[in-house]
Amino acid sequence: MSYFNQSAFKAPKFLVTTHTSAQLTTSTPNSYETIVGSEISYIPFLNSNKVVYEISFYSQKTQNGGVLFQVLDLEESTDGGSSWSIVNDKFKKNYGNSGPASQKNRYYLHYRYVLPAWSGEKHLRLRTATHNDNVNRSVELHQLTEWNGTSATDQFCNTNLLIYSI
Amino acid sequence: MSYFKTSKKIQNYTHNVDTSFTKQQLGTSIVAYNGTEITYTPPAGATSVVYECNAQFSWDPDAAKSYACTRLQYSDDNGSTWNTITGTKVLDGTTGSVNDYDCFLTNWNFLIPAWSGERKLRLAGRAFSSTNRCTLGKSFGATEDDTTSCPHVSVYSIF
Repeated sequence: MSYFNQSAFKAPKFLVTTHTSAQLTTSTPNSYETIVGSEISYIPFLNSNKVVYEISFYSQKTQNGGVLFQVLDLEESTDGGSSWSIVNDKFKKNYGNSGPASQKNRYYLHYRYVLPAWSGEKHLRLRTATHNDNVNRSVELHQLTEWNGTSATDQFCNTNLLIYSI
Repeated sequence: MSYFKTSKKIQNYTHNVDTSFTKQQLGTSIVAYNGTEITYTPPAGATSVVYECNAQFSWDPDAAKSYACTRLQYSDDNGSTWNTITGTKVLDGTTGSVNDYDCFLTNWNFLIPAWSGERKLRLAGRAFSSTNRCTLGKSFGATEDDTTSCPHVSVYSIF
């Protein structure tokens, strides 16, 4: 993600978030929360026409039969983070399953959004929620509870965020 | 994204993010994926072109087994005929022993040799079989059962 030439990708900004605990999302349907490490403020490079927001993070579900179903919405704020709105309804993402699969699910996810550039500063963040028809579809973010053949309590995956102008 | 070195240059970055995109259920006939077509001319001296697409599929209508057979195609005659680019065939999806209603992310990155002149690029594909269908771009909101998620496509040249 970081091997680019700065003459083509303008004003790159990185955020690498290290974690020391899991982020347990709520099992309450339709209750959004911000993915830790997903929020960033950004001013596009002058005269650029696109801004690319890329984020990678780890997610797993090993409890309650392993079923999960998450909704992701990219949000923006133009007032320093006081109020937020969805960037575009057509940018909605999902991952996971809703059936009684009785399995463990683990994902290293990478999402990439190409946005129209703007003037001034905006804050962006990625929000996650459980679909309202689903109970116990919550997930555990950032922490690996099994690693190298055994259970683990001290294994975490960084959240990597990159934003740049084109 | 990670195919190039810092010593290389990137040019002619082009995007397709079509927010008028409509979701697309795949059957057993190969179809062009909505919102993935780009007309592109590499700059002189470019060695390779990168085609990136971040998109998602839903299980609909086959809840237990959904597979998309995707490939990158090009056309040199303004879209009259299309050719599949060797090495770009990808199979995405899951098989469950029960209906798992799976939604899955696809993050395709194809590095292909550069060419001269104008060329159209697009993704095309089909379901693996008549019982392994899925829907490109169908998403679910926290309170909605049927929303849409458009692909985010970028194409650029490297030297």
